[in-house]
Amino acid sequence: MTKTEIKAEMTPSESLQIISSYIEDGRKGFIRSSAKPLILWGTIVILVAIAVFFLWKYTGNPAWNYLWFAIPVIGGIASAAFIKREPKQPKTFITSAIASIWLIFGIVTVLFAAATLALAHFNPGWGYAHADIISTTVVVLLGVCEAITGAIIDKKIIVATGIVSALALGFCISMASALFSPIIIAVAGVLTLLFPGLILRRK
Amino acid sequence: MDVTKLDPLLHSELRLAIVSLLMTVKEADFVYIKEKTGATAGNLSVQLDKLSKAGYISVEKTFAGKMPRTVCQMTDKGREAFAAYVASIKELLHL
Repeated sequence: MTKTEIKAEMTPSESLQIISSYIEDGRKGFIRSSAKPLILWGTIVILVAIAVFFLWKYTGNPAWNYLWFAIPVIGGIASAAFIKREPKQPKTFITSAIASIWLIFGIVTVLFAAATLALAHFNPGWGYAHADIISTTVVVLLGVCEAITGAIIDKKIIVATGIVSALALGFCISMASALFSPIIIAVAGVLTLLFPGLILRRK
Repeated sequence: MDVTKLDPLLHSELRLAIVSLLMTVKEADFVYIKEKTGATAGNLSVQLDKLSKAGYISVEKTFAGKMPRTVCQMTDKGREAFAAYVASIKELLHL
């Protein structure tokens, strides 16, 4: 007699237990699998932000801000390597939704930054105004995306951190001098990417 | 209602585990299901075949590079059967 045949006599309670455990295990596993990309991108954002701050501060050359465009390049390469190395996980609504949110965030911010920089190029009178617009938008969107991620996985602390981060850091960055924007973006990287990533990994 | 009235295709540990697993994902491949259920390849193949013949799951054989890959996903019929099975279990347990 096979194992399956023996267990054909299982009780309704055992059935319910099997269903619950597989669904719950799956849910936890998929949420945990969303943690690594957040940690990876968070680390890249923080490192690039710190690099931009110091390079700009000590050279006095604002052109170092073009280094921000290294984020999607480094992140893209690192993500591709990460996906290749990790065991393939099935897609669920949760993982697909979280991946889509952050992909849309990435596309919108890169295109918005590129378009704003192009406009600024033809309007030299703007000074650093375009940089303020870009950094404020990025910080607010980071917080919003984090809050939505938290809502999908039903983690209130992540929702709250996202909302507070969007409001507080968005306000700070719009008031701070352009030179300090990278520091605020680094803090946003910690709060909106690294922090939820670490929480999900523990879950 | 008694236990004998439960859907016999789902009222088996491995098949129920497979279906419960597939309910949480869009699709899953053979290796993943085998790893999660701890079943042997032979037994898993047999149970997948039974579920497939009943129309509860769809099984597609593809290639990932040069490696053959068997991908399974729930069908609408399978989802309905699973929902009915869970409802019956709840009724039996007076939940």
